[in-house]
Order: sequence, then structure tokens, then C-alpha cells
Amino acid sequence: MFKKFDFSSTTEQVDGISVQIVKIEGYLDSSTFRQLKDHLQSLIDQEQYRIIVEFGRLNYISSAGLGVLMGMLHEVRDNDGDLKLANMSNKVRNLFDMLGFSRLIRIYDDCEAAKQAFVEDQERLAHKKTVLPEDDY
Amino acid sequence: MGLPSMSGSSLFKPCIAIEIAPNPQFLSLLRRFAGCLARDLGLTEEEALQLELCLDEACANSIEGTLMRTRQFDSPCIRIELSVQTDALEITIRDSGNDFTSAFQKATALHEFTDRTRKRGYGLQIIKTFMDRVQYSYDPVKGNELRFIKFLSNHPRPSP
Repeated sequence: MFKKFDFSSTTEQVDGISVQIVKIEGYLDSSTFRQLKDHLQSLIDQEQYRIIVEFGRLNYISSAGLGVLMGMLHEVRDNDGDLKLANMSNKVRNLFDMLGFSRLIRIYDDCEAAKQAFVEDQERLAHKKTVLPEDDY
Repeated sequence: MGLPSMSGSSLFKPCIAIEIAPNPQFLSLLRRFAGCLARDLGLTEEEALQLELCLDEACANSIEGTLMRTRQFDSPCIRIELSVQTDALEITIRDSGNDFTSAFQKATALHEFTDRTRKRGYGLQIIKTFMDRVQYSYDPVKGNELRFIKFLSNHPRPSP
């Protein structure tokens, strides 16, 4: 029948940072969202807090799918990580924009830009940790 | 082949009825159907996408509510009617799920909504945001009836 939903997941080292890349395809609605939810939760359970979700072959997302991403977003950010989205089709990007979620979650043109953003996040975090103790005075 | 032209004619106003079992596997088919119909009626690509999303959200709610009540995946107990008017597309969804009057009343349009940390329950908000008119009623015998209207972009919208 139709390609419903599938994903593949890899770990990459980017400038010494471990980044999880989850490529999703098909559609993410109330019949499929649990597969992604369970996988992202398993990454978080393994203390993997830097995650890129690559949307290249996803053609639809409903509020059930958005709810998964929003739920995970806070959990990874609370642990100095982030959930970054990359390579969205125009249709899916349009859905994010229409619903106002593109203001809350970072969306990149491609996976490389998302990886680079993690490197920059790490540099900012390291800088903050070295500067903050002096600020205490 | 597109639908017959509606302009200046009230001779043909198709009403399409679909009955589905409360199984989320049907959602993708319903979305495709709604998208095709919307484009045939001359809605813009963005409006067609909004319609797909709203039908998906409404039916997902119906499926969940009906399953909670009946636990039967097989009986076709959710009815979707799409009625093409001269100036609008009207969609009615009837099911035998639980009364959601309170959730319907509380749901605000997304632009009035600030708490985006919530994981669930956006469906009614999405429908209220993108559809031009939304009504809901519950009858203990007949069940739920959610009705929403999208005015066709090539027709002037009546004042509320």
C-alpha cells in the first residue's frame, strides 16, 4: 500500500560531539507517531541529548507528530542538548509555519547546517561555563 | 476530471459520505481525498493543506474517542459528509464517542494560544484556526457532531 512511516538512526561524531541523526520518511500522524516517540525516548534514556531529525522524505505531519517533537524538545534542552530539524519539504515546512511551531524549534536547510549548529552551541556552552564563575564576583 | 463548475448554478451540489471504522489507518486516505477535493474546488495550495490537516485532526479525535468507548476497530461507526455548496465546502463528522463539549469550548485558535509545551490536544485549536466556521453538538443518543465550513477562496465570504 502506501509508505506509512519508517526511520533510520545513526550516531555521528562532529568535532568530538556525539550527534544522533534520525532520518524519517512517510507520514507522521496519529497512526504512526508512537514509532518516533519510542525511538526518541530510547535515545534520551541513553542520555543522548543532541538529536537531528532529518525530514527529507517526510510528506506530512499532524499535531500528533508535533506533540512528540515538542515533548522531547524540553527534555533535551533541560540537559544542555537540543532537537534540531533539517531538510523539510515545502509542504511540511508550511505546516510548521502555519501552526507557529517554526518559532519554537530550530529548523535547518540541511543536516550539515544542523550539525554545525551543534558545534556552535557547544562553543557557546563552553564559553558560558568559563565566564560565569568570574561573573559571580 | 474536476468537479462540475458551481458558478451560477445550483443544479449540482455534490454531497459525499464516507463511513469508516475507528482505525487510524484510514487517516492518510481521508487526507488525500480532502486534498484532491479542495484543489478541484479551486482552494489555494495552503487552504488545501489546511483542509487536509483539519479533517485529519477531527477524524483522529473521533477515532480516539470512539475507540475509548467501543473498543471495536472494525465496525464502520464514524461518518464523514462533505457537502459542496456554491460558495463553501462543509464537512460534518458524526461519531459515537464521548462528549467533548468542554474541550470544544476551551479550545482557542492557535494565535491566541501561548503554551506550546503541551504535547497533545491541538486538534480542535487547529480546526478553529483554519476553518471559517466550526460548530459542535452532542446528543446522548446520536453522539457527537462536529461541523466545519471552509469558504471557497473565489467567492466573497459572508459576514459572521
